[in-house]
Amino acid sequence: MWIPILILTAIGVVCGVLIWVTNRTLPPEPASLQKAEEVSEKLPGMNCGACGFPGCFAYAQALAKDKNVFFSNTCTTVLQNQDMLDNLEKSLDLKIDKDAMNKKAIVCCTGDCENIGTYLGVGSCKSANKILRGFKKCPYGCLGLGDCIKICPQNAISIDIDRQISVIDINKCTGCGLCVKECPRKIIKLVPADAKAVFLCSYEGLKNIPGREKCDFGCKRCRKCVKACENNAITWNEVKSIPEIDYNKCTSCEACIKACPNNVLRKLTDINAKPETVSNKK
Amino acid sequence: MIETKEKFTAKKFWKELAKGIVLTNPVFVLILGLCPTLAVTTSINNALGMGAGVIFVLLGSNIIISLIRKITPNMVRIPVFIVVIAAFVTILSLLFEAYIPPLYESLGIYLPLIVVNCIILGRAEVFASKNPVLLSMADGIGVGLGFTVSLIIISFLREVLGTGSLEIFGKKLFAIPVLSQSPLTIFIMPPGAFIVIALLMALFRLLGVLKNE
Repeated sequence: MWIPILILTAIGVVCGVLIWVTNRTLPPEPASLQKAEEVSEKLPGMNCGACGFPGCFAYAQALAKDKNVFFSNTCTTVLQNQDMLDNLEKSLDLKIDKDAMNKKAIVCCTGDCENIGTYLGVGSCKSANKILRGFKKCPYGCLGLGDCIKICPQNAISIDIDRQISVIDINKCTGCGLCVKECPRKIIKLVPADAKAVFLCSYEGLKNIPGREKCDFGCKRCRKCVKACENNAITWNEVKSIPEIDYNKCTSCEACIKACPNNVLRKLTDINAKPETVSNKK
Repeated sequence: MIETKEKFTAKKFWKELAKGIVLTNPVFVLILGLCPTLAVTTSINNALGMGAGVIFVLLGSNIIISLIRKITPNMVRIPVFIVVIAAFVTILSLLFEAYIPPLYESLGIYLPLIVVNCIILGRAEVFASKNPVLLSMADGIGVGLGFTVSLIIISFLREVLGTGSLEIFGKKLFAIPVLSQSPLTIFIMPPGAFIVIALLMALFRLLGVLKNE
């Protein structure tokens, strides 16, 4: 009984030695791969794919080859963490302007939109959006079925039950932009992290969609914000019929936020607070 | 175990080698190793790499198993075969990873899965454990070549029909004008593999029937 076991073990050991010998004769790892491994240690390692590469190691390989990839395909998770950013800057010999590149995603919808029917289909915004352009009165309103929640690598998105829309916790959001690509209605937008005023309505002009109209809680097109702004930072886009904020000119005076009658313009910091005006109307 | 006592000749060597390619072609006649055949035949590059890998492992394992056939106890022969094959597959994947990383990546899981490839285990059990070393070598090369040739035929048809062009080692050999603009993409996808293999198998059967008549 012992002989077969011994023979098998002996063969196994011989084979092991054979593998060891082969392994010793292999050429050493190329320098580029070593650099990539070094860089990949500095990356978050979540493999979220937001940078556009399949996983952190592929991103590290691209960075090792050309460090300017960081500007075209930014790892936004690194931007949030000063230690990680310092390490990466050191190993790549790169100057990164953290504040200029940091972005936050916002859901450009204030919610409370009426439903025009009951949707009982597959619980995903993509499916709901295909059936008669969604079940909300506004064709640009957040459907609140949470496609963005599933894709968010930071778990920063949740559903606000009262308003029936997705809300993004800007403290957790890294601005990676995955939800922007995921949203079938294209109502999630990236704004600079130091933006003061954000515009929370996506209704573009009055396109003739039968049975659809703007909800009562969106932008009223009163243009008070344009008049209120003393620095000409807000311009009216005639085609889309929405105000556009030039964040370079904005001095954070918050005059537009006070002027907005429907509280569609809000401070980025209290973007998810339930506005007084809206709740009073109900 | 049955031991063939006949004397070894060069003629026998070539006969054994040729047998593996045509008469007992592992893919079309024995219908063995279909899983890697279906998976890696999307391009002729992969087919060549996989074929080379299988020839290497089959040759190595056949030689070793044939050498140790007399000291291998019958009751643990399958574990012994597996250990030997696994050692060669490990060596092969180390070599591939070191010298041809793109091929290593495109073959993916099918490279380590050569360990459980039924062609190799089958040849070890049926042939190498009962025959002398040189004959086992001939058998290993023959069956390995048979496998490679089938992979090349399948992948050639799939790549030409599915992409309208042919590429070997990064060099574009030719492109068919109309087909490359609107290729029959189904041939690159899994159903295409089944269709091509089925058609080729039917062809092999037909040739067999004609030959017998």
